[in-house]
Order: sequence, then structure tokens, then C-alpha cells
Amino acid sequence: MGTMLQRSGLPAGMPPELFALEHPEFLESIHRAYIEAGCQIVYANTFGANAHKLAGSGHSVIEVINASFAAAIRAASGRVPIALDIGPIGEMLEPSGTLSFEIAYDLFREMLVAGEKAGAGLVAFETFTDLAELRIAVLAAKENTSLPIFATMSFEETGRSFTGALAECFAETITGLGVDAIGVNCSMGPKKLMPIIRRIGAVSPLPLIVKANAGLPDARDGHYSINAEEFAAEMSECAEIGVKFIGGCCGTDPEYIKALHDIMLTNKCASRTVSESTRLCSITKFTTVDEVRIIGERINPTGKKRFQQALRENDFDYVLSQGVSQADAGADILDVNVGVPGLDEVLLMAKCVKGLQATVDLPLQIDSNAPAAIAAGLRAFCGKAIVNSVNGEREKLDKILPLVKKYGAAVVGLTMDEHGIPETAEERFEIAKRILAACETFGIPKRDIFIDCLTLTVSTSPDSANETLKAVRMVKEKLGLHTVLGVSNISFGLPNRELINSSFLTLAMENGLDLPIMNPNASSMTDAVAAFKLLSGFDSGCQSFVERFSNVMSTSTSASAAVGDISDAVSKGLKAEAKAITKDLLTTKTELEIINELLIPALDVVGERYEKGEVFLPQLMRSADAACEAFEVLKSSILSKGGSSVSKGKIIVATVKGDIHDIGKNIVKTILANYGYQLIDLGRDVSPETVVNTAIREEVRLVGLSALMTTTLPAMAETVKALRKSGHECKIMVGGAVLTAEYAEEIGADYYAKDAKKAVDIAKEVLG
Amino acid sequence: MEKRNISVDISEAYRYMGGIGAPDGSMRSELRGAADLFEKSAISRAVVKLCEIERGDFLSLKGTCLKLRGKSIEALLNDCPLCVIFCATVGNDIEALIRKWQIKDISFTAMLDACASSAVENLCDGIEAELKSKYEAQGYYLTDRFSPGYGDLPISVQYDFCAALDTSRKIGVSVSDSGIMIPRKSVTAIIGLSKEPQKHFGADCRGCELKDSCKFRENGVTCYGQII
Repeated sequence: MGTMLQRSGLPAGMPPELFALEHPEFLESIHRAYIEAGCQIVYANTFGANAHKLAGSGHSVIEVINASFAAAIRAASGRVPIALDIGPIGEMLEPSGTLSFEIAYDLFREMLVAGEKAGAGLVAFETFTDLAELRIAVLAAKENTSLPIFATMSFEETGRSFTGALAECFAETITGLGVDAIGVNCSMGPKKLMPIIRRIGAVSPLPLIVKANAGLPDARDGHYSINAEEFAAEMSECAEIGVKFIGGCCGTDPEYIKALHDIMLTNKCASRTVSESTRLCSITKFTTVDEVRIIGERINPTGKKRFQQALRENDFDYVLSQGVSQADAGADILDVNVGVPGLDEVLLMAKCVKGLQATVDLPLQIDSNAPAAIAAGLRAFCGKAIVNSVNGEREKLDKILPLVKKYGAAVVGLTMDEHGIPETAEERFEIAKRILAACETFGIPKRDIFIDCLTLTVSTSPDSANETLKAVRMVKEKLGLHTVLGVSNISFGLPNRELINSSFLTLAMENGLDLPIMNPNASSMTDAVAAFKLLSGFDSGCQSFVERFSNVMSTSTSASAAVGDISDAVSKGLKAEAKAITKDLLTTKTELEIINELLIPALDVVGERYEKGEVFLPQLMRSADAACEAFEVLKSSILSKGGSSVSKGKIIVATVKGDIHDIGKNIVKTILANYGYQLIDLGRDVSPETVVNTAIREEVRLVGLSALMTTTLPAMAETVKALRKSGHECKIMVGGAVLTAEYAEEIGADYYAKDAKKAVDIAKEVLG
Repeated sequence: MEKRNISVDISEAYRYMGGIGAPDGSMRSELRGAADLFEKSAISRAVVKLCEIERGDFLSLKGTCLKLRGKSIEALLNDCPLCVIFCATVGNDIEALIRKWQIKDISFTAMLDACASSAVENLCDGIEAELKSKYEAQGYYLTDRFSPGYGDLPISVQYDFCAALDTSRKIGVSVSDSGIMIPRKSVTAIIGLSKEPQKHFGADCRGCELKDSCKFRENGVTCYGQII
């Protein structure tokens, strides 16, 4: 369609969807030409007919969709179904951009409802490069219409989209949502798309779609490189792969369709089989559970004071840092549990999942007892997640399995029920069978069901290790299901827990444990996994093991604690030293003494040198990072003694609405935190209402706003205005490269923070 | 759409971070580490288009919706019947990398970010050099490179600029509601082609919006490394 419209003079950048209103007969003739050439499904001219792209055109979504369908319906005269064609909205989703899930969902919903009413036979989502955006679109379709769904994405030759989405991740995630056909369109000619559709077909059993370009366009005149015959010849590979739906994208016209029609109607579409292996994924990472995979357990408030504090204070950076460190330590999947009494678990789960998937590329395991929290986590996560957990209780199965099915997740079933945890392996096996049966009634495939045979403490029940191991073996061998186990419980109450845990882990893996839930930062545990993989033949050429342990020598020598003073470490930006020295200092001084007598003066010295121009921002940042390490040590120490956190006062920092630049704000945040202030970081693209509401709720006396673009300065002015209007008493400081002292005054801010050092001076003045 | 080599200039990256003068040994080696990681993770892409300039109440590019208003752009393209517009980016993968490092180490994050800024500038320089050799061989003279937001060319043309290049389909660059290109480290530019030799101003403080609040100028240098 686009090709045909551009040939008739449509300028690049003009919305082609208006053609239905301005030249309906011409549009009709294009549809007719395609149908006469052999098209069996016609796409209405609605690709960009969303409210965002139509803004300023003077026409509404409903108007455009109705007119487009009217033309297509007239042309088709009932001969072929007409698809509602929906492309990307045109703006990037969070976290890279500023478009939110909710707004994207509404934009899609508007089109979908209008399209179904106007006579669409199906919806075809195409040319998406952001898997997260496509997922929102599919959810909108499933939740608001009963239209069959086609979904295709555009990839580069590498099989990754512009946003890094892997073809396999697309296949697994979107198939799980329950669409009717998936595939690829645009970006390349048929030959280069074939390897990608094969990759998709290896992961998804759904019917496949290939809608290729006519090769590549010439940079000068836009002419495409492949003619109709060549196109059809290249597309003939589709039959052998087993692609059901074929068509042409950019550069193709009715001639191409006719050539396709002639060649393909005589070719039989091959049948396909897809492997039954268990697959998990995020947007950019695809993991097959064909060997032991580590589930990191650290994102869990149970028994962790620092973590609970972080959740209470909305310190998401701490949660994310736990995610990052586990990923770095070799976790394959991250368990996410944010249930703390008195806190809103649903909200926290959504926020943590959102934050984690923006920072770490691992698939997540949503861990909660509350169906609402599970739903929130599953909805936010783009990829194939695991739900932890259900058990033998009928009520639980009935509440949670529908969620698992809806979002295409995998599920962990605990071998316990309303009567508690059975003692014997046989009894646990019976529960596993019940869970399997229940999952099957909900249409959840075997490969997505993981059984947790539960680990009891060996010190209280001496046979517990044996029973658990036996149960794992039975589930693996007799039911053919993957197994999960949290191993650390085994050693509770005994000395040398590490040794017991790693030994039990090894025994369990030998008995069929695939998915241990463990602390990947404990090297004894990850070492045990590495050794197991080596000994059971999963480490080809012993490569990973050799790599892992030949590096150990060099890293251990560089980690030696330096003796020196904290001032030196901070001013030189030496993180490891700062950490070690602080730990040392705690033997002779209290935390507050260290902060007030040593750490803050050290930071002040660096700040002064920065002001004098003796050091610059890079050095200031390095010092801030070193001070941060020291501060973390102190925070943990205070908490472990039962004290409450250090806080010299709360400060809000936020990048204003529409702006996504936050490195500067984060530098200021880090430095202020090192001085002992409690930072409430609202992130970027923050609405004035959020700033006001948080300031009032948390009783914040100092608000810091940042903006980097001249176009987002008005949002800053608006936020200042909103704060004043609310009557909440606070001081406002503003900063950012485009800001000047004059503008700060003009918009009514109290302070202009020209750099991080000034922000500290302001904080000292306002809060002390 | 073309894939290109990425190169980061360490000294330039240091300046982007707010460093003045030359980085010391350990800073330099950390920057090198950031540059190496960056170069491994970034995927640079560019889309280039040759356009005819049409003159009316304002300048427009034939076959697009792009309208160029303002004295600066008119002065630049005064002698030019043709121009080249392009968009270059170092991609979205590094956004994810930067987000991850922001949790771990703010200083390294700033280094990655600075490397990205340096790389995208080098990308543009590379494109400009290629255009120069291509079009000078055809008897054209090139103007300076000019971007939305420079002089009095409003940044709001960014949307139509990217639409004219079909950046969202070709290289995955889109424009947010507030005119920010996503991925952030993306640049759009226009270069005029003339049959007459053109004046070159290079980067110059006189026309810069930030000249009154510029920290570099406060310290007696320019952002492109010259002593004032």
C-alpha cells in the first residue's frame, strides 16, 4: 500500500491514512488491484491511524478507520477478509522513551474497537521493532475484541530488532499470549528473511507469516532491487519451511502478488514440528532449560532488614542493585519477591518488575502468595516469566493458573497443600500429579510446569534430605517435569551451612534438579553448579570451568585491603579501598562518627577542589562512588544493630515531564546521599502531580528538579507552579545544562544549582 | 540504512564528561575500559537522503514534509539547489547498558555516556567526509553541517526531519513528544550542496544558545577544545 501511494506522489512523512478521506476511489482501486492479483487477505490502510500520529491532521481515529474500511469493503465485495492493519505508535515506550504502558494500551484499544466495528475480519500487527510495544498491542486486542490476531516484527539480518529483541524471544512471548499467527515483515528481501522465520518457526508452533520487502532500496532514488519474478522465486522457500501466510511489504505491488500467487498456489506448505524444550526469556535474552539454570534468590525481603528498609523507603536503586549483582554473579533467572506486611505489594511488584527489566536482561520469576501481585508482575514483564507458586490447594490452583495461562508463563508447583508438607516422597509425588493434572485442564503445557519438592531442615527431620531427593527423582523420571528447589533451608540451625548447602545442591542436581533457587553471590554454590556441569558433560571441552578458575588467582590478589585513610580513598576515588577502610574503622568508631567526622569532611574537600577548578566532574563522580561504597557499609552496619537509618532530611530529585536525561540528576543524587540525606528519586519524565503528591505525602522540604532540553523547561515551570499552588512548604532547586540563574528566578525556584557541589551547599542550607 | 564502524575519542569523551585539560593516567585507562565496552555493545546506523530544495515563503525539501524556517538555515543554504539530510545513531543497546551501570557506578556511567556522545559525533564526521568525497567529485561544494536546534532553526522540526528520512522504520529512531530523539544518542543534520565555494565557520560560540552559561567558556576554553 505504502509503495503504491508513494508512487502516486505521497510525500515522505505525510500520513498515508488520510487517503481514505481525500481520495477514496483511488484507495479502492489499489485494493481491487491486489485482490485481482490474487490477494486472499487485504490490509486496510490503517497502519498509522492512531491518535498520536493523527494529532494535528484534523481527523479522528474513528473517522479514518471507518473511511479506510469503507473503501476496502467496497473493493472486496465480500471476496476476501479485511485486516485492521496496526503498526507501531511512532513513539518509544519507557524506559528508553516517555510513552507509558497505559497510554500505549489506550491508543491501541481505540483503533481495535473502531476496527472491529468497521468490519475487520482480523487484526494484523506489523513492522513492530519493540517487543514490549507489540505485547501491549496484543493484550489490548485480546482484552477488547474477539478478532483473530496476526503479529509480525521487523528484524535486522542478525535476527535482532532495533531495540535488541531476539526473534526467539518474540516467538516465545507472543505465542504465549495466544495469537493466531506470527512472523516477520519489512526490513529485508525474502532471501534474508528466511533464516529468521526458521528461527521463529523452531520456537513457535503457530502458523507463520512472511511479508518481505522487494529487496533493499537505492539510497538515491528509492528504487527497490528485486523484481516480481525474482521476489516470487526467493519466496518459494516459504513452502519448504512451512510458512502459511505470504505477502509483500515495501517496494512490492500487485505484480509481485500475482507472481507470488502463481508460484505458491502450486506449492504445498510443509508441516512443522517444534521442540518440546522449556524456554524462558526476556526481551533480549533467550534461555533454554536444557541444563541446570540458576535462579537468584536475593530479591526477597524475608529476613533481610536492609531490603525491607529499601522497600519501605522506595529505594528502588537498592532492589535493582541486587538484581544487577546476581546477574553479574551468573544467575540465569531472578526471583522477585516484594511482600512486606503493611506495604502495597501489588504496586511494589509492578514497580520492581518494571525497574528490573529495564536494567537486567534475565527472565524473571514472579514470587508471591497474592494473585493480584502475581497479575501485576506478569502484566508488567515482557517475556516469558515463571510464577512462583501454586500448590495442591484447589483454591490456589483455580485463582492462579488462569493468570499463568493468560500471560503464557511457566509455573512452579509446591508439593504441599492445605494439610501442610507431606513427610514422604510418595505423598509429595501424588500432589505433583494433582498439580500436573490441574495445569493440563488449563492448557498449560508440561514443559512449562516446574515442581518444587520442598526442602525441610535436616536438623529437625533427619530423613528430610533423602525424602526430598527421592521426590525430585520421582517427579523427573515418572512425570518428566523440571524441578525447582530452594536449597538453603536444609542447613538451618547447623554450623558450616555453606558446606551442607553446596553438598545438598550437588546431590539434588544429580537426582534431577534443574532450577535451584540459590544465592549466586555465594561462590561455593555457583562453584558447585560449575563442577556439576563439568562432571555431567554439560561443559564442552571443560571450557567454562577452566575459564572460571584460571581467572580466580588474578582477581584475588587485587582485592587486598589497603591500609590508608578514608579521606585519601574518597579523594582518589578508590572504591574497594573505601569499603575496606570503612569496615576497619567500624572496629573503633561508631557509624555516625565516621560519617560526620571523616566521610563528610572528605567529600567537602573534594567539593572545594572542584569549585576551585583543581579537579573536575569526572573526579568528583569517582569520589562520590567511593563514598557510596563506604556509606553502604555504614548503612548495613546500622541496620544490623537494629538502628534506624541515617537521615539528615529528605530530598526529592526528579527529571521533569517529557525529559529522559538523568545522568546529571543521578550524579547529584549520589553525592547528596553520601552526605546522609535521604533521597527520593522519582526518576525521569515525572509529572508535576507526582512531585507534588510525593512531597506532601513524605513531608519533603527540599525538591530538586532537572531538565536538559529547552523544550522541557516549560514542564519545569509547571512543576514549580504546581508545588506553590499546593501550599506545601518546601524549597525548590533547579538544575540542568540549559538552565540559567535568570530562568530559575523567572519560574519561581528558590535556588539555581549550577552543579552537584552547589546542590550540596543548598541542601546544607535548607536541611542542615 | 548503513551499518558503520564506531570509534570513540577518549580526550573528547573526557571533555563531554566535564573534564578540563587532559585526563590523568588512571582516568584515561578507565575511559579506555568504558570505550572498549561501549564499542562492543553499540550498533551504529545511519540513513542518508539527497533532496532538492524548493524555495517559497520558507525552504522545503521536495518529496518530504520538512519545512526549514529561520535566518540561519536560509543563510546556510543560500547557494544550494540540493542538500543531503541524514540521521545517525549509536543505537538502543547502549541505553540498556547505561541503565545497568547507573545502578552500579555513576562515574563509569558518565564515561559510557560521554563515549556515546563522542562516537555519534565521529559517526557524523565520517558521514560528512564520505559525502564530501562523493559530491566534490561531482563538482559540488559542501556547506557546514547544521542541525535542528542550531541558530534559529527550531528543534521542533525534528519530527518532520525524522519522518522525511523514515528513521523509525530504517534505523529505529523516533522522536518523543518533547522533541527528544530516542535512542538519545542520535543526531540529525543537513548539509547543503552548491556549485559555488562555501564559507565555513566550524563550531563557533557566537551562534550558540549556551554561550552565557557555558562552563567551558567560564574556564577559558570552548567545548571543542580551543583556548579562548
